[in-house]
Amino acid sequence: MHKEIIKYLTPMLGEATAANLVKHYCVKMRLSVDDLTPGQLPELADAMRPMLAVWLGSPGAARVAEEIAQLRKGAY
Amino acid sequence: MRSRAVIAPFIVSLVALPVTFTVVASLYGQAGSDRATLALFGATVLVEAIALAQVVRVRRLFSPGDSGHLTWTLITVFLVVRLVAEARLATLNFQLVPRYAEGSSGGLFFYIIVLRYLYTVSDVLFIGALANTIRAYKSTGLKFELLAQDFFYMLLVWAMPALTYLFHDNLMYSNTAGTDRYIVTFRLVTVSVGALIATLCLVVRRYVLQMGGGAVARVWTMVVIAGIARDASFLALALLSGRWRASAQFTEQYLLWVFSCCWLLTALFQQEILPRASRERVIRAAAESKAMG
Repeated sequence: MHKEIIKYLTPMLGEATAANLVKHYCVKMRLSVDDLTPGQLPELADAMRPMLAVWLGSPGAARVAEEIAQLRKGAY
Repeated sequence: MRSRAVIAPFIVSLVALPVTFTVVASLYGQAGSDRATLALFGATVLVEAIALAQVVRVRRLFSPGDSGHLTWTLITVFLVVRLVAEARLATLNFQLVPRYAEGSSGGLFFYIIVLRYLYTVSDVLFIGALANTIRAYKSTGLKFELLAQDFFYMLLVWAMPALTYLFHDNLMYSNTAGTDRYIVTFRLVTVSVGALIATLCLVVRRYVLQMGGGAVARVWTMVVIAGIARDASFLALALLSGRWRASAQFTEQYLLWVFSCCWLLTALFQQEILPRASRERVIRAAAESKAMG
């Protein structure tokens, strides 16, 4: 699942930042990067919002977090 | 306005402008060169005005609590102050105001000598924006670090004011606005402030490289190019104006053209970061919240 998040974020934040960001929050939330489940995505996406807001602004970060949460549905 | 509509004409201009200037200079001599540089000055101011309009739109994408809001507010004020300074310079370049001479009125001294420091004020605002961006990058807690070679590049950047000091006699060239003995001090101050801008740009550049590509990196790469072009414009002036006055003035203006186009692209790229569907929803949400007061 983490590969999908990185793939989604890479065009915006770059590959290194996207990977580091996902890793950073997985460690912070004590989640296993490799074993992320779709059910954990909304919580993870919500946690990422403040950092996404640094580059995208709060409204943009909220939308991106929403779309990350929906990755489990294969919507994006 | 989309970035795609700007990139191609900008790239073409990078080649077309020097070629045009060379042709005009060889056909019409000094007068032709001056007119070509003045025309480029007018075009640069126009692009700066368009960039400002786009930067105002970018600022609206950030909430007041976001660090980006402060950054883009500083960039907005930086461009406003710069445009006021450019309007003042236009009145001098197009000879709408009498030339300053020793013994001129206090009002003329203030308008011509003091108000030129509006450029310095705008540069300080640019420094604030860059410093806030660096702080924002560090605040993420992700790995953004300077490397040893960055300090070497910074040393090279600080060679620019050193070289300018060395060639400071060249800074007192006579342009269409006339010459005064205060211009050297102004240019030395500006090139030093410019070196600080370039130093901060190098820090941002390193962080951008560490992002591994992406749309955000593209935005800040444009800012870095703008900052370096601004500083290089003064170096070019200092190095060239002793022997080739017309070419020096044109090169300075050409680099400022690069500077203004990069700011326009910065603002457009920032608006294009989000995937298109998200971007439209964010713009709609921002408009709705504005309508609700």
